[in-house]
Amino acid sequence: MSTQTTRKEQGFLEREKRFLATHAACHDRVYRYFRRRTDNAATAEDLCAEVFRITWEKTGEHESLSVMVVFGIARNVLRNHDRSRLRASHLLGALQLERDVERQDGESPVLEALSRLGHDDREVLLLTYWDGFSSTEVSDLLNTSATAIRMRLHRARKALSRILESESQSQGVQE
Amino acid sequence: MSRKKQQDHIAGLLEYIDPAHSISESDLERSRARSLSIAASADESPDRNSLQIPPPLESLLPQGILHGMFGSNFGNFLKRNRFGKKGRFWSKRVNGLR
Repeated sequence: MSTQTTRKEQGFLEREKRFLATHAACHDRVYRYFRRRTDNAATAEDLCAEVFRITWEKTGEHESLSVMVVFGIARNVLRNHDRSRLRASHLLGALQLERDVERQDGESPVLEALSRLGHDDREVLLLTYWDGFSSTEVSDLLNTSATAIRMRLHRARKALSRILESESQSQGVQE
Repeated sequence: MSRKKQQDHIAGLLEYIDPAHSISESDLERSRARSLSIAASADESPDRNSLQIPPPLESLLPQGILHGMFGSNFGNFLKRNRFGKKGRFWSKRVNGLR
């Protein structure tokens, strides 16, 4: 009985050690990931805590989770958050629309151009330039091949610079 | 613009507008502490995922009823209910249709 208890405790300690190692390796990157994609620090903190709650549940006694797995969890948590926010904004209706219009007025032209890109193109650009993932890592996260990601990245860069050019031209005409 | 120049230009623009620049060390510290404390209390609260799994059918009905419906092979029926030949319920049905 006591041997069993000791083994259980040892297993728990191992699991805790693995979780702490994953937490130390991933926390800052995951927090930045959420801060870049959410409105405020409190939301990012909440989502980050949710990711590590799930990570703790998934951490086994004999295996720790890799950075890519933790980011996979983070993507899912963000997707759920976005979905529920969208539902809430539909409910808020006109009030929310007014707020969005106010916020868009103060946005930088690059952010505006980014928002005009397709979802997949934007995702690849941001994962590469903001989160610092290689094309192989992005392909792991998005379940495609690295070649497809490189191609998408090239197209996304082209599309972004085209949008920025057309915006600066239209501003020049207005002036 | 050459391809390399375009890459550098986009990288510079995105780096410039990166919202992560505004993250302070105290923000990170607070989030670290919060995520650790929530993970530590995760074992105490009931597991949300396990709550969503419905209990097995056998546990909901008295054993005699299932035995009456499917004979003693109800376990087999559950395991092979899709294409299995040995499940008594399915083998009867499939053979009957043939």
